[in-house]
Amino acid sequence: MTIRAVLLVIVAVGWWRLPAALAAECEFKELAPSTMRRAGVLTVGVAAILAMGSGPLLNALEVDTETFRIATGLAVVGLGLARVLGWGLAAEAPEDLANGWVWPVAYPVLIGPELVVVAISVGSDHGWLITAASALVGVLLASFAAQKCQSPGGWAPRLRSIGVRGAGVVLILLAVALVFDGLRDI
Amino acid sequence: MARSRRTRLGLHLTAWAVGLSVFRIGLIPPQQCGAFDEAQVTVAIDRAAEWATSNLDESGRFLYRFDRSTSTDLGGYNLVRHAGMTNSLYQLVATGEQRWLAGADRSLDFLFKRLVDVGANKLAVAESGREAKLGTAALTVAALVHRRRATGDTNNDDTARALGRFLVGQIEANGAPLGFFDVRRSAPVPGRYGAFATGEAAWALALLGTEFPTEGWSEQAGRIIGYVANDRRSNESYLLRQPDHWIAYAMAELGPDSVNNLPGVPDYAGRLAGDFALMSRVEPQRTGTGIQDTVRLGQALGAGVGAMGEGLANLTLVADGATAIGAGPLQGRAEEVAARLQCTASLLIQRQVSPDQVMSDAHREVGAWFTDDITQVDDQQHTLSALISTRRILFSDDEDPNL
Repeated sequence: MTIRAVLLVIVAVGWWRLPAALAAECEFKELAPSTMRRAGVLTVGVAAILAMGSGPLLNALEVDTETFRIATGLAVVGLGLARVLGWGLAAEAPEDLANGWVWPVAYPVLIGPELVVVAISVGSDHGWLITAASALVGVLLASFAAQKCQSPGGWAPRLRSIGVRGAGVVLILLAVALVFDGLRDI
Repeated sequence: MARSRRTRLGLHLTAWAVGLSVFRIGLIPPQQCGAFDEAQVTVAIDRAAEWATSNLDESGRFLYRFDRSTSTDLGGYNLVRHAGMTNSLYQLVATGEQRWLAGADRSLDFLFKRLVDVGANKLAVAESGREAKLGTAALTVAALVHRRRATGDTNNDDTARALGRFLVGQIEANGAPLGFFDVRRSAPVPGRYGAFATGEAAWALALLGTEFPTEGWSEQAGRIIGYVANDRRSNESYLLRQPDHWIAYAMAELGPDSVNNLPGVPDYAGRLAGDFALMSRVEPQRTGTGIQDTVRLGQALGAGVGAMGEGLANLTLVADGATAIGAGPLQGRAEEVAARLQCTASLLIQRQVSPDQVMSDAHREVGAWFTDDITQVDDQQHTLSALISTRRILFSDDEDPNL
């Protein structure tokens, strides 16, 4: 269950959106490394804060961990389906990306609704450290994806589409497993 | 460009507002589990028992179904539920509350007048000329055992054994008990099973096994429990596993050593606990009002929530047993199950009609649980039994699983 939770956080970080988001950028100039670094730090920070605050948040909502886990799974199934259908394929404008480490790189590319609900759920189940560490892996994958964008013969539009839609499929599978974990738990 | 970014930001904020609202309302509305103390449980128990006994007629028959909006006795009757309510009263008497004994005995007499000799030293319970139901016999056995424990009176032991033999006679080779007996043909009705009677029979036999440990009743109970755990779903074509609180009773009564030795049963107990836990998470989200009434439909019947409580209470005991012997998926998890029980019991206390909530007839409303202004005797049966177990588990030092 812990491994699935880790995988879910990693995939919830929208690194698989970067090739599509950077599609226009790749044709013009390199994305500044500092942009990726800052966006990555912000992403991990947001995930950690959400995970740390999951306990008080769920108490305030009067919802227990297991119920939130099921709800997260159902929500991520819906979000994953939207990704499969192509939500998130749009390229970001190069001028926005130039200094856009908060917007649009961190949000909405890396930090989407998937990461928000998953960070709270995984944080409540497994703690903020695992959540933050998993988000860090996702951010490292984002850096890799951003670099690959600049390589000659890099991501073709078809591969960008597969990246987003494929991530959607993986999200759905992991989310369904999360739902079943919640349904079976006491 | 700035304007475009502002527009996009506005769209995002709107999407978040809508998404979070849908998430909150649709998936994570508040779970209204309240706190309560022993005194509140006792008041709820007393009110339910008072409702049942004060509405007994001269023949020992309960008020079966009542509509408070029209103050109308809706009539109808079900002997299984009568036996169940009788048993619940004896469960209460067995905790030391003798003042309910007279009412319980009157309702037991109603069943005694319907005992039918079906041959081979077996007794069943049936209205004249009707099929005898497995469940009626089973819950009559349960009532007799709890009466025995409450009073020490052994005069009904032979009757209990004869009913037990009837239950055993209904069990097929695979452990499935047939649900009905044709009194005229003096034979079980083939191919018909009771959704709840199976578990009721298992519990009754487990109870007999505790009272008469050398007579082989526990083994018969084990056969049924094994069938339910491993074969019932496919044999009886159930799409989903039945949330069977009666089997939970049976497993708690049988004890951890016996349960642990039944193939597939410890795992089944773990899955059953998960089923009840899930139900106990959804029900507190049902307010029965406003948008939640549309999204989550209405609140469950009192009988349903009560049965949930009975299941969780007995699975708490099963988990205690698993912990004691250090085996099975439920070991170490009794507190978690008890937490679900606490939430469920809080709903039962909240939803019971109190004196200040009377619509037309205090005598037939106070102490009852209504759905759409209608109450049925098993609403009080299951909730009373659930609250009795809740009080014992959460507030008592009594570690003896046998009431």
